[in-house]
Amino acid sequence: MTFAMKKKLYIIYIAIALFLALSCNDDSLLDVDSNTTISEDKVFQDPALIELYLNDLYLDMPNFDFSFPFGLYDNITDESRSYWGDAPRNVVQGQWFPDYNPMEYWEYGSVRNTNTFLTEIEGSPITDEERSTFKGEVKFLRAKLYFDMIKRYGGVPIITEPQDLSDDLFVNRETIDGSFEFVIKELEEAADLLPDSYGDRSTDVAKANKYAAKALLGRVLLFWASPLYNPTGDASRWTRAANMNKEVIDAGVYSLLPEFRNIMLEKNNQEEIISVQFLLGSREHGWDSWHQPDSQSKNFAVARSPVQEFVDAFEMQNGKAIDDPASGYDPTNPYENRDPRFQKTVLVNGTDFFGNTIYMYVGAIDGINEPYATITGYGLRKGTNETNTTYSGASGSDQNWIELRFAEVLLNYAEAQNEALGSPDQSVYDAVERIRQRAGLNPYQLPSGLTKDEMREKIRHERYIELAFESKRYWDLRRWKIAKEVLDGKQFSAMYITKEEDGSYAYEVKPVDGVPCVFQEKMYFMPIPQGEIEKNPNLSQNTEW
Amino acid sequence: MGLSAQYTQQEIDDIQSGVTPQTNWYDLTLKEESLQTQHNINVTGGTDAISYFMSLGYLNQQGLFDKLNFKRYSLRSNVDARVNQNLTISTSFDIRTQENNGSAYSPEKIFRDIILAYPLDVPYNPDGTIAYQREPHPLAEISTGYDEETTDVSQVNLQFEQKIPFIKGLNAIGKIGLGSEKVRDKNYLVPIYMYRQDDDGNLIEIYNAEGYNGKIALTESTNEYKTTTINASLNYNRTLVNHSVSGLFLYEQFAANGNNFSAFRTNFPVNGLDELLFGGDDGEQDANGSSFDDARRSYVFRGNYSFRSRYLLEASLRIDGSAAFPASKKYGYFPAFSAGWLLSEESFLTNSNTLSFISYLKLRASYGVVGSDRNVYDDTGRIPSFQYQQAYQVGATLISGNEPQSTITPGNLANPDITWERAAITNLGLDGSLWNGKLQFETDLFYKRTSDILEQRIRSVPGTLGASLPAENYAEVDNRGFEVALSHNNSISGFNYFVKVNGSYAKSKVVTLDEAANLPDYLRQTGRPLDFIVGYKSLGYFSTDSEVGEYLPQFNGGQQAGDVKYADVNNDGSVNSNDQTVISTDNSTPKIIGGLSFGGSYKNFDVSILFQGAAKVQKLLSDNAAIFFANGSENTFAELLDYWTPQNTDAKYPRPWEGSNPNNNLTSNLYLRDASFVRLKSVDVGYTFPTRITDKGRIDKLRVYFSGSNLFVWSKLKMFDPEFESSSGRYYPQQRTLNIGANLTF
Repeated sequence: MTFAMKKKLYIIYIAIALFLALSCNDDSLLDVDSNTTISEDKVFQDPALIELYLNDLYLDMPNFDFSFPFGLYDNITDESRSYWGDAPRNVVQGQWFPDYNPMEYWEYGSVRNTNTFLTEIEGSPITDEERSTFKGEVKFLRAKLYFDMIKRYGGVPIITEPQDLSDDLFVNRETIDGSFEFVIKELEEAADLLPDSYGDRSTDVAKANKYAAKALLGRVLLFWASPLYNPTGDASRWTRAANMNKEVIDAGVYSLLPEFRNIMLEKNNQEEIISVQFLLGSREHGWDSWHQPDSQSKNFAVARSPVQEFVDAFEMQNGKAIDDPASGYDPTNPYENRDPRFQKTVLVNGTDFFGNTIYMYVGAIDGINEPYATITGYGLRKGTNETNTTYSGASGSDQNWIELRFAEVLLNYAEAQNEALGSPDQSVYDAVERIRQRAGLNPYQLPSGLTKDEMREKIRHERYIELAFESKRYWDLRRWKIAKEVLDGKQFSAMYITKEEDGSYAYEVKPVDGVPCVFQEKMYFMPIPQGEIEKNPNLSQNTEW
Repeated sequence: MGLSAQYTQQEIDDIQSGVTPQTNWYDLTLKEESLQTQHNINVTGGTDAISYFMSLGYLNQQGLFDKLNFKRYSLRSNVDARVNQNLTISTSFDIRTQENNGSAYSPEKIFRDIILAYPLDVPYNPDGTIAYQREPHPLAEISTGYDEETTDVSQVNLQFEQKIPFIKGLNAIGKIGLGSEKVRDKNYLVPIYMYRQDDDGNLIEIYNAEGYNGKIALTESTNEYKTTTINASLNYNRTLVNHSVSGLFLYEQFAANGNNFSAFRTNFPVNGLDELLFGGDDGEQDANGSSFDDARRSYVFRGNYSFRSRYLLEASLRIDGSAAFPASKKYGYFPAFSAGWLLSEESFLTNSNTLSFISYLKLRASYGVVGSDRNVYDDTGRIPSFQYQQAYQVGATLISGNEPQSTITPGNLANPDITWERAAITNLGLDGSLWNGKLQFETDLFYKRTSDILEQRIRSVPGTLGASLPAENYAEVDNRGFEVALSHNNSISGFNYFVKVNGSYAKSKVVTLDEAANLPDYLRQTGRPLDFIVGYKSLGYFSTDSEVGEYLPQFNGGQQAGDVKYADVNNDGSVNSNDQTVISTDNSTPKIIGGLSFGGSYKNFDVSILFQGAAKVQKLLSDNAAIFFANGSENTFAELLDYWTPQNTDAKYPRPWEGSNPNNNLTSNLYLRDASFVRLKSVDVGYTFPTRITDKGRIDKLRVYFSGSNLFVWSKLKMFDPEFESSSGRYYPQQRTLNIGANLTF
């Protein structure tokens, strides 16, 4: 090879190399993509993927309280207290603010997901029937999200489309009435769109059907009629609420489960209207673990210690209050012959629990105020599965979270109908007595001839007992506007049980702790989160926050 | 107040006088010292045609508790072969195997649990079983189960260097590199079975705390990461009398692929059966896996010119392409320019007698832009997030109709315009050497403006949007500062010594950052240093309950004597969340850092000492370092004993409380600590054996040494090491290391 040839060859090499290097701009190299995600346009073009996204929307339904120390909403009322301090203790002390609110629920992330679904589903290749069911389900879920915000904050920004960053993001709050009206309209539409049933009860309990939408609407209408949200006392709202709840009762789809103790244990029973389902190994919660006394706890204990005031609220089995001289209540034997729901709800000293006898008297292994033990002398039994051996920490249990059950519909009806009328009619009695009969009270009948006010107290009592520890009481205290009266300045009580030499017990009531409750007038509406007030100049803060 | 006292006076007296035995969980769990061994053998050599380097290394580091240890075996080699006068071929490989063993519980958790353990609890029952603890049992955690991680890393390179014979000074280099990293991890998590004695001394209860929901669980995982780098360049370098010219064109491409796989089983029948096949067949098992790709492409053009080695000029352009950006935004263009002036070569210096002490003096100036795409990668820097797409990812499992159902959930909102971040750096420097090198200095003044910073606009976009925000090329930040390094070397009658001092000061200022629309001026980031600390301003403690009533309404009320009293910053007559303010413009990153090292050698002895320090650094205590009895009943640090009482009003901490106290737990200057420090970082003393001894053993050099690191620290902060990583005290500490070693050269 001559030098000239070599030179040419080199020039060709370099030219090829340069060409290769610079011509790679077609960029197959840099054209990589994520292997672990699915692009949005694919999602709404595929019925199977649409269902997976719909599943995700159901995941956002509130259920058991998984945030430490488990059980916030029950531990800030007259139901129970938390051993653990932290969030419930702060709320009880009135130490919650726009920038620290353990009950905060500014759930616009979930709202956006429902909005995206409702927008994108319009062009999807599915049948009209599927589309209307899907839309009904998502409208139900969105209405529930908004309702759970409205009950806290009053009016909130109502956003029904997925916004872009370029949209006007400073949305105003809707009025309280406007917000309720939106939720009511959406639930009415959902009820029209949804099927009566998906074919089997276990699906009907997990997914919204027509009756679930109506039952939730019955609850929403009841709230809207309640004093907090109905300051002018518009009586027609009570009538509307009564009618909607009556529709659900009259449909005959649901009935009370005969045994109160099994409401959470017989999964997907005839009383459940809408539930969040759990399954061991796939989605678990810690209901059985959270309520263990320390002696048999695994990685958590005593989430709820029921207070003495709650215990005292249980009537005797004969239906009479314990302060009624004719009730037969014996303070030296205080747990005998009570409303049968009592020991199905509250764990009492010296009774069996998960196979062992639990002692909570002063100085006992699970005695009051021992580390990781009850702080009131009581534990919680309601809904626990005492045959469960797999409980640990925040897992090992798979009872359903029953968001709405038929007993609530009966009570919603009774309350609304009582308020709508001058004095209670037989239908109010019937609804309340169905619950008292199932409870095992004997006689279960209410005294006849109750006034509207007397009946109101009976219904409120029945809700307190029947729906205890289902995170309902706090919202009832607020919507009735009695939270201040029931909670503020109160020092709740514990039962100190002393074991005597002869093996008998002596009972003494003392305060649970040195902390009186604080519930100020302004707290009836929660503060809009501080960060949101800072970011959105159009957002007004609630009064006095 | 309702509750009876937890301890009687007698019990308290017995504890204080030492009658009641106490458990020192630190001593029981941690070793006073742990061993570290290191061996290296290096071989170099070659002929005209071949040169080689080989190295074999071994490191064994024991941790602070049993089971914790780190081993590394490494093998490296380079071989350069000159095929002919124009072509050199080189190969290199670097292979490492690392074994990282520990308890199944992380060191951070074990430190946390040592902190939380109660001194009045005993670790074991008389029969040797594990005694019941209210908090996790650190001693049991380090002795049961394990985590074994093996990492195999290899990097193999092949390089050709070809001189182009007919253009003088031009050569071409091509390089291919193959990298591979494989991490295998086996985590055998065993619950802790605890026994409690009843009053009669019988062991009555069995607790299986922790573990996987109280059960044994085994997780095995494999992570692989493979890279291919191809690199081609043309270099030109030519000097003609006074003119020097060089140029570079470089092309580089990088492709990477990673995948991971993991398997999990639980319900093992017996502790000790630690293979997956022993796991229970009950549906509670899991297999998982995923993969990712990454790529990058760069072009670099660079030209240098110098005249008489006195005036230096350089210009370059870098074009970088990243897989993480959309097609039209993949490439970023980053130019740079620099100039240098070697003053010491100028006649006015070389000819000056008064300035003859200056042996070297160079003035430098540069301006350059660099790009970054790190903010759209995950923490490892390996996995790109493709934020220009609206993508859905796998969500949690839903149960519907009593059956597990999969879900998909939307990821962040798409940003179709996402592209490179840019930092423009201007630098001015002066380097010099005076009095024949007795004093050397390097000084740098820099100004860096980072723009198009990939940040999420979480401060300004209302939550009602409802989407997780994508990174946007939005923010701008300025950094300014200087660096100085001085060194002095000298030799006085056989005594050689050196002193080096270096220090730097840097401060940042936010030019553009999204701000919440209603944020008061005093909380705005713009115009302020990055990451200032916001909190309440403490005015000390309320000295009496009545002082609480006399003061402004503070939050929702309810304070007592000994609670923290806060300033009404906005003067609106009440203390609430609007009264937060900037409580420190310094943060946990020190603004000033410096070092001082000195040493010397005399005859066969040598010594060197290094001090390091930092200033203008503030750290905020949290969790157990700031809260009494966190989470109901957790143990806390002895420092918290300096709490407020009517007699101790000047305390570091407010009155102690049980449960929670949001008033006292707020972020305030009360919990801010100056973490400035000076640390004796290392001391190294060596002795080299005289050649007359070593020659007999055909040894070129034999040096034995003793060295120590992290020997002493001076700081106002006594509670923790001032460089602590976690403000709750839950961190694996810097250890003091003492080494004895020998270097042997044949």
